[in-house]
Amino acid sequence: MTFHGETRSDKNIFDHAHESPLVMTLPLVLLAFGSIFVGMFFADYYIGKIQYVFWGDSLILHEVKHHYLPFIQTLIVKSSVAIGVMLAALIYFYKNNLPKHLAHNSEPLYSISLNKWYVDEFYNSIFIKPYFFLANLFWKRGDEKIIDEYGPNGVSKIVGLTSNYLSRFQSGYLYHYAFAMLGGLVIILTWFIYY
Amino acid sequence: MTDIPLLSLTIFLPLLGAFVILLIKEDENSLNNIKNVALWTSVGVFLISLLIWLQFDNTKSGYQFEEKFRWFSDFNFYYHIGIDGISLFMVILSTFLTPLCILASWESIKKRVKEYMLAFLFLETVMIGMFASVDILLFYIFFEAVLIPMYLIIGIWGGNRRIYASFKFFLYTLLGSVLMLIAIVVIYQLTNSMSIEELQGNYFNTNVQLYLWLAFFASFAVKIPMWPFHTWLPDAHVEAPTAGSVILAGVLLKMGGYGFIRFSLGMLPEASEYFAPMVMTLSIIAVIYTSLVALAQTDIKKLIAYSSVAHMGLVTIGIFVVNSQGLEGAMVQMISHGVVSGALFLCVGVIYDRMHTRDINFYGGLVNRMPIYATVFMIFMLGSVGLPGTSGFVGEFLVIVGAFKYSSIVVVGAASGIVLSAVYMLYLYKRIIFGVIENEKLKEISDLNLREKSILIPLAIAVIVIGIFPNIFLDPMRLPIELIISNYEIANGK
Repeated sequence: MTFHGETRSDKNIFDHAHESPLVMTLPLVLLAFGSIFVGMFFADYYIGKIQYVFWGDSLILHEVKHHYLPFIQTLIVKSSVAIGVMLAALIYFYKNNLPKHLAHNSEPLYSISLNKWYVDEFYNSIFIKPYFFLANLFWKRGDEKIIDEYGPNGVSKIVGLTSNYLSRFQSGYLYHYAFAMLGGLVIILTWFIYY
Repeated sequence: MTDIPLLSLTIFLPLLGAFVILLIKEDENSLNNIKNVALWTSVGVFLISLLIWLQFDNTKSGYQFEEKFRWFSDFNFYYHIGIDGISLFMVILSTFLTPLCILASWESIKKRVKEYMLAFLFLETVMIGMFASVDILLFYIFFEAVLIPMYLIIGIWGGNRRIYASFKFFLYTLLGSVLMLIAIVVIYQLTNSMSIEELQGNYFNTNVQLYLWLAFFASFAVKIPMWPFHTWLPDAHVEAPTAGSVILAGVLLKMGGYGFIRFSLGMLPEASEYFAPMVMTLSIIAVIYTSLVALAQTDIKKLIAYSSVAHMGLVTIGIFVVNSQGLEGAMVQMISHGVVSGALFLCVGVIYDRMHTRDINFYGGLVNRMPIYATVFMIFMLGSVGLPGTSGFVGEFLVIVGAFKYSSIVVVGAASGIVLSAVYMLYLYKRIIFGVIENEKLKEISDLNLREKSILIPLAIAVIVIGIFPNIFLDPMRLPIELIISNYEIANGK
């Protein structure tokens, strides 16, 4: 889809597309070379003659039980790859409106595939949303409503209310003070008389 | 060792600088003089503290650079100062951050510059004095005196709700400290001694220890702060000016951790053993709870403040598992947090100075205009997350290793806190740094200038140096920590 067929992008963008510079091409060439031939060079280290050097004691290897896959299995693997390539070529290369029909006819399957099996959505609803819910709960309810309200703000409120209440005793009227003094005198006298 | 009283010099040189500033008349022309006196005094203090580090002997477990004078004739109160490997780095952290703070306030503080610099130099004196005290009464005086300049810095140069925040900060910490004062009086009554050095060990019977421990706990738990005594911290941080936040996060929170190591573990080992499960529970709650709350914040400073509570939760876990990994981890975590969170607050200050808002949603795409800023911010962000190679990793790793010996449930709590810290820090970084600039006002924002670079780059270097060479920090503190652990184990019959 990226390389073949007619362009679907803007004329403008299409004209600006160019081959990558050497800085990018060279590593890509090396990687391409490696992806094809790496098995030939390093097979011995991992599964071949000198695997003991690499794995050491970390894996238990049973050399005797080495057996090869049956021919039919390898055939299935290889032929399914080949069929996949041909199918893709058929769908995207030759029949231009086939993908649309295909997508339309197998709707749920197509959507699941397009949305990556809905894994992101699934994670979003079971991890991220509860996470933010908890975060806000702890912040707004826990910190601001409970700890602050009953802790420092609550204490200062109680102090304020109490002193407000007590300050009413300071009415400024002389007879209030005189009465309080008289009451005190009565209490002290009572104390001395009885004890 | 020289005869020059280096430690007293570090403590009182800032006060001398403050005195010089006091003599300068504040007007348009002398503003720069005031700032320069403050800056160069604090730089000088930093150099002297480095000299102390150079002469420090790693092979001694006791106090070094001791100075002792009788203070009252009839009582056993002494002006007794000295440092060991535990307090050495706390002193250096204070002297390292103060010049950077003064530099950070160079342009952002516009009113009452003279008083501001006075407050900062006084603050430096009392911070160093507190960490260097060997006499408990002296410790208490400095410990309380720290509140005065900090209260003024928040209350005068702070934001809109500064009065509420400064009162909350002051009263909350004072309440704890008063209980500590009562404990100190009891200690003097029982032992007739005020020396931290002499009282190390198991001097009190178990019952007394429990009460004393709770009284000290009230003070240090508010200071460090532990859940649920932490709510003063976000408010104080949000309202404090940038430099105030840096000192608050960088040094003042460490006073709690330092106190736990010196007093709770050092003097009251049986009670520490008794209360350790409670501390662990509160710490795990703190780590998870505040990490969650941090994510929901829309104010950058508040987010970093909550992250501080979470990180200090790891410190308390490290302290109360009482083994060498845990304690060393707690110490490195404190040093690292001092540098990293201080730097993060400075980073917030940089963009606050330009845009005058700390709303996360206001920002976005800063990397397009401020590449250097984005880079240093990333270093500090990763340091806070605890990426290997940064300072945060060493502390968190050691704490977790130490916690494994204590209980695997504690490890689960501590480790989940580290994962959650990655969540909120990376999310914060993504929202303010990456993306395209959508806000019109941000289109003209400028990158770090020379002054800001000279503040943030030393901190970035410190983050990486602590992360790669933790041994230069661990070696001096190893023996004092071993001493505390062996006392603790003897006391608890292990």
